[in-house]
Amino acid sequence: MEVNIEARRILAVSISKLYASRSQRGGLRLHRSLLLSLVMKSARDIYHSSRESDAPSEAQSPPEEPMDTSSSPELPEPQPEPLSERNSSETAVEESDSEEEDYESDTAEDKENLSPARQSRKRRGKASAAPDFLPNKRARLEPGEERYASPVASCRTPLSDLDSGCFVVKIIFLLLNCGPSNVHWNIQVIKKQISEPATSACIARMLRRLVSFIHPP
Amino acid sequence: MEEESDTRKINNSFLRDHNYATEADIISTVEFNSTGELLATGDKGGRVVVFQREQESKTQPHRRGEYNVYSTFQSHEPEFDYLKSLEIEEKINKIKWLPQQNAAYFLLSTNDKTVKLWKISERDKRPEGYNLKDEDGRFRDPSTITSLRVPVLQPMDLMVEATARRVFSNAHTYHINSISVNSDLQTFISTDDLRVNLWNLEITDRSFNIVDIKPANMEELTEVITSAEFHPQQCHTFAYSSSKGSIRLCDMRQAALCDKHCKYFEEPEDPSTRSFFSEIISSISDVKFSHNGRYLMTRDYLTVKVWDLQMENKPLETYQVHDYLRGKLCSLYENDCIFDKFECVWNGSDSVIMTGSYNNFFRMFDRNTKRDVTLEASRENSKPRAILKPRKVCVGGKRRKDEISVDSLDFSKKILHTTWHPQENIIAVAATNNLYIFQDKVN
Repeated sequence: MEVNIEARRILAVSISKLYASRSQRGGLRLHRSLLLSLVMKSARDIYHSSRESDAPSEAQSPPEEPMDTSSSPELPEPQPEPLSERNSSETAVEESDSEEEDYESDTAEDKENLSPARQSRKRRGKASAAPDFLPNKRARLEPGEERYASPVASCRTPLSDLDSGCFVVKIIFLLLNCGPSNVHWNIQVIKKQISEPATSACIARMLRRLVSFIHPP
Repeated sequence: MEEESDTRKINNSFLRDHNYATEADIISTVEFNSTGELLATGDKGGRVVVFQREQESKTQPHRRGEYNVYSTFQSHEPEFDYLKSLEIEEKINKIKWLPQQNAAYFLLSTNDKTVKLWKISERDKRPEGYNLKDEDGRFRDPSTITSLRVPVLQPMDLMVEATARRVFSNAHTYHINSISVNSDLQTFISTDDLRVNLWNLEITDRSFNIVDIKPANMEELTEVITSAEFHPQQCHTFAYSSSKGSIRLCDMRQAALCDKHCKYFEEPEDPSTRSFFSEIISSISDVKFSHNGRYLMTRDYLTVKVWDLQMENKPLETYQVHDYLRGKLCSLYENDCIFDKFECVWNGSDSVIMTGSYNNFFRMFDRNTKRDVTLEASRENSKPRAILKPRKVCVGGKRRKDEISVDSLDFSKKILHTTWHPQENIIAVAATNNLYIFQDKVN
């Protein structure tokens, strides 16, 4: 469907722009990042509404709470991977500079941090077609990624503008929440990672992955 | 309006001869001072060039008030924020003149993080006849001095010097997009994406935050401030525009923190024109009060709107700048042009408004006659004293002679910055690295 293809293309272009804007002089521009995220949100919404109209019988998702910029910070409830064992191995080391990045403060409504026992570990069937720009396989943490929580003394540079970086990661969330039951990312881990000031390297890695999924080699 | 043109370039001759522009020469702001005698331009390299109008002379009537370079100085240098590992660009985002109160001229210039107050003064005399120093500066042996003399001021060649009198820094986390001097001539505001700060021109180590739209949780961010300006007469009133297409008017007497607006201007979106890019094209890139203080003008990507301060629910007038681009938004998104921030400007009597477009076109709209004209700033079309020919963009299939089709427009040539003389019909238009000054036809 044309709208579908167009939405995907715009999504891909937007991610590339976001990725490129990291390296521009003067740092991430908040206004530009905001506009890019709004376009991505529109594209994502249109993409999903067109997919749902294509395959209504396969809708198995729980009602997705849109993770848009105006809604409350609670995340929709995808089917998180049983990765609590990985979570425990990470230690939060880098302290948040600003309270805005303290995601842990969203307690009451934060479904992400429900104890694993209460979450269904059963993965929904793959019959609901995965958006084919998301990975089919579970994205495993590369060995190096567990070291996101490594001490501040490590070589990563902090993001140029912490709040803009926060923003970039929110965009990644928007994309990760594309499909109701087909999110194979380690959402909990990523969320934990960004509760510390997100580092350039971390975001770069995530963005590279997203870009490569959208433009498969 | 018929115009004669008088082209000025601020490239040095090497660049002119070789016909390429370095990025540092790209003009990023232009501004006339309050009398129109001076014209300042800022560029991406952090330099400010000030032009001064020649005195009209009876002996050379055809050289009627041309603008010549008066002063050039480096306003801002590139900096590095070590804490955030962030490079701070030296690009001059805005220049605002202070009204002249003595022989010197003062202007405020800003980059992304720091505002500076510059004093531009002339020196045409220097003291000569010191006792302890020779004319070339060498010290004289006191034992050789037999008599004392009083130094006297002797004329010298005119020298224009610019000195930084104040540096207003460390008040903005985000990128400064505008500054505005208050009509009280004592304070000014600097605005970044989320905050507006009020400064006193004399005090550099303190500023007051008067607007803060940063949400407690940055995930909830939905809009940013794109521009702010003080009312031209009321020293307690200012307006700021947002990326959502709204304008808020605030009264500083109401509260110390002006988060609550006293007027809110927004036009409801037309659902039939909704697209992927609706939010981007509704983002306001510039807001300007009229000289009489009764109207506000806003520029978004495709239109210019004039608002009556007494009517908040819709604009008084809407002018389409380049509606033929509406069908090309996707391509403009891909080549980043959709993010361009065009400025808009009033003429001295608030009867005509002007804004820039692509292909080095700029548009003027006469609010009274409802006529509009598209003109082009290009070297080929602008011989001195030539009259600018109106241009037309053809949107349909059949292209007439002299029309240019939408697909032939050069989107790398854009006019983002323009300014209008406060009293006369003289405009300055910045086309990438070239500055064009156009004047009204003289009979």
